[in-house]
Amino acid sequence: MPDGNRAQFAVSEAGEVIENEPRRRFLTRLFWGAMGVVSVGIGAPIVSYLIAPLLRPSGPKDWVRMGKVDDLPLNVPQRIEVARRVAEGWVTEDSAVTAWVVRAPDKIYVFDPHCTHLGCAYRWVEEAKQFFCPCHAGVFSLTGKVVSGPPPRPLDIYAYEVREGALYVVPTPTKQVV
Amino acid sequence: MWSRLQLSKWFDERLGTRAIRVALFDRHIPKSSPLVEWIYTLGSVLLFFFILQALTGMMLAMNYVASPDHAFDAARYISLHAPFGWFIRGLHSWGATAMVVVIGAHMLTTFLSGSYKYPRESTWITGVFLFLIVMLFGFTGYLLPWNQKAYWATVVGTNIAGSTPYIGDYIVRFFRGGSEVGPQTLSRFYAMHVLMLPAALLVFVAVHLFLVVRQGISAPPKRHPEYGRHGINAQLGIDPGVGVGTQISVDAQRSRAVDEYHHEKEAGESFYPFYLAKDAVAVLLALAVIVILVFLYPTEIGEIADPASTSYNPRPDWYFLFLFQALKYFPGSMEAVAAVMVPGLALTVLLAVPFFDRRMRQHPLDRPIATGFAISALTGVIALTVIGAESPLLNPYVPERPTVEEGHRLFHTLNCAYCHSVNGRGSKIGPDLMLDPLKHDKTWITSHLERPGEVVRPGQRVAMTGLLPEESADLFDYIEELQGGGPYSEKASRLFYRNCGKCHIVAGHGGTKGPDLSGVGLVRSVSFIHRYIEDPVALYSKSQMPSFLEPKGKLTHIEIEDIARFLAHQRTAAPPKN
Repeated sequence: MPDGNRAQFAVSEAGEVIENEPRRRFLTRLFWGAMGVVSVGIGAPIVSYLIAPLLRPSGPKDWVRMGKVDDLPLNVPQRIEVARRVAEGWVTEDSAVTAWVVRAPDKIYVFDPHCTHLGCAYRWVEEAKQFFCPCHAGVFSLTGKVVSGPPPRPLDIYAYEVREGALYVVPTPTKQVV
Repeated sequence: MWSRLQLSKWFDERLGTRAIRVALFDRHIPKSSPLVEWIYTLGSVLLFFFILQALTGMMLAMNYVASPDHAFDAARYISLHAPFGWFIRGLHSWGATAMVVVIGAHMLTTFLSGSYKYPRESTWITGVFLFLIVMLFGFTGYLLPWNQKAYWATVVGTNIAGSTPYIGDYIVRFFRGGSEVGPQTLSRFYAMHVLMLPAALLVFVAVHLFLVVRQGISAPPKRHPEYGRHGINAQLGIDPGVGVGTQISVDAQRSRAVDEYHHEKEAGESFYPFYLAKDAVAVLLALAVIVILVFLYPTEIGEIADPASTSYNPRPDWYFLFLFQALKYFPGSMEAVAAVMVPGLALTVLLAVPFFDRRMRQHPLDRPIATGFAISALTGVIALTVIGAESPLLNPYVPERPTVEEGHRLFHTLNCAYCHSVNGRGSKIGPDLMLDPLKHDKTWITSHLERPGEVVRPGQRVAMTGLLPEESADLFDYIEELQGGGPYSEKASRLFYRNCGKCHIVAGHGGTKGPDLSGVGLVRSVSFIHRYIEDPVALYSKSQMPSFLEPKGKLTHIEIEDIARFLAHQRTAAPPKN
């Protein structure tokens, strides 16, 4: 860098430059050195602050209690909505967790309440014993399989666990492994 | 691969970079003494602070909302949780202070060296506007953290502007966006602080810098007593000098000054690197100073703004303190004089001075009146600021621990009073959190709050959502504070009777010189009692009680905390009288 600058100044004011060459070189380095320290001193914290969301580890899985398993009727989907406190940034507030829960004899299905096509909220139609999506007429079976319509895959599920007779779920949609 | 020379040629042909570089960086600066050259770095330091404020401000805006229900939490989030948030916030807040100090010094040296004179009048006037803009930045930015200090400083500040005759009421409503300081004020100040003022500042800085390059940086002032009207120095009996009694016309003075300046400029050195290197070092030092200040005195989070509070001591930020203090010396009917007329007159003088002070005397010793005026104004402002800062607070205030404060807020936002009361106020479904002794330990209480009706008492219906661990910890700290600030040791009562028992009664024992403290826990928090034992006069100026803290007294911080907790548990008798 100093060499380049010397070349430039030799062009603009030749006689003088040669005269105080060492002083000029020292001051040029001093300028860039000081500016470098200042830029790093301010830049480093600012960059860390900016990219913090990229570095933040995704938190531990947050189990939400959805109620007692015994209260769930067999093979009749229930839309369960519970409130939980969620802290995001500086806002901590109650937020709802919603899921369609089907208690089958051998296992429990906890479905994310959005159609796998475009994310519309589907509903259960008792007469047909099927889930219907109002947007593009997607139809799912009791176990979430696509019966007809555009949905590309079965209903997404939430991981669940039964502890002391209560159903706990992690409300993160995951693809169903068939 | 292009060589550097080819690259610069490419750009020069398209953008004229060479001409720009010659105009900005190769321009010559008149030589002066090293001290004066260091003083000349103030402008660059100011420009640096402007850039620093812009950068840090952009970062802060990213984690902020200008709304009373979230602003305080957002500022708190920046200080406590955002990576380097406390540092960036500290830089911004100390940067504001530094900017006011440096702009003051820059104006003062410009004034003393007569640099505002021909041909730099417009440089000076844009500078005065920049000063105003910086003060408005300070005023509007101070409110944004939405804590007690911010809120009350704004209430007081807008009221000062409100004492303007005839239009005061309109000014107040203009700033507040209504009749009170509230949500509209906050978003108004935010829009001014991050949109309008930066735009205005940018324009004025651009013009100011253009003029600096256009007119050149003024040469250090030389003695020219002969430029005076019949030599004012001669009239004052100072150094008759050359040409007493001769009259040199203003126009002649100006053309001489221009000639003189051109010679000096020719003999000077180029801006880069000879002057910029000094500027860079000054900038580095200035940054180092505020970084040290950020570490030593981080920006405080404070307590959330409470318009209903009657115990807070409102004070403006330090750079408006002189105005605040000046108001104490004026009776109500004369208030407008100190609040608006004197500052308004000062501003008018600053804007007009290049037009009535036209002679080319620049050296401060050639201008005794101007110099004396500047120095006495500066002394006055500094004196008022110091007196204002040192004047005792009438409502001494002891902040609670931040977690206690957070717990207190949660108690209200979660409507805990539907079931619990505090000191008899609230519902009786659950226990009184202050008067009923705790039946459970911390684990039980936090479980109750985090998983209500599930872990602790299965089957019981609880009308609340499970809290997050941080929230339950804050609430527990609040409850603990209500209960007397945590457990005290076995030695506490002995410590109390040995040190305080001569004057104070607790549980029927002790002297009567001071107030009976048997019920002090009902009216004072442990933090307050602790602070009182440390320094009674700071909290109650007429107190006769000595300080008990080492080295004045003989108690350590730990012993005082022990006694304070012991006293905070005393809730049996009528509260003490003061």
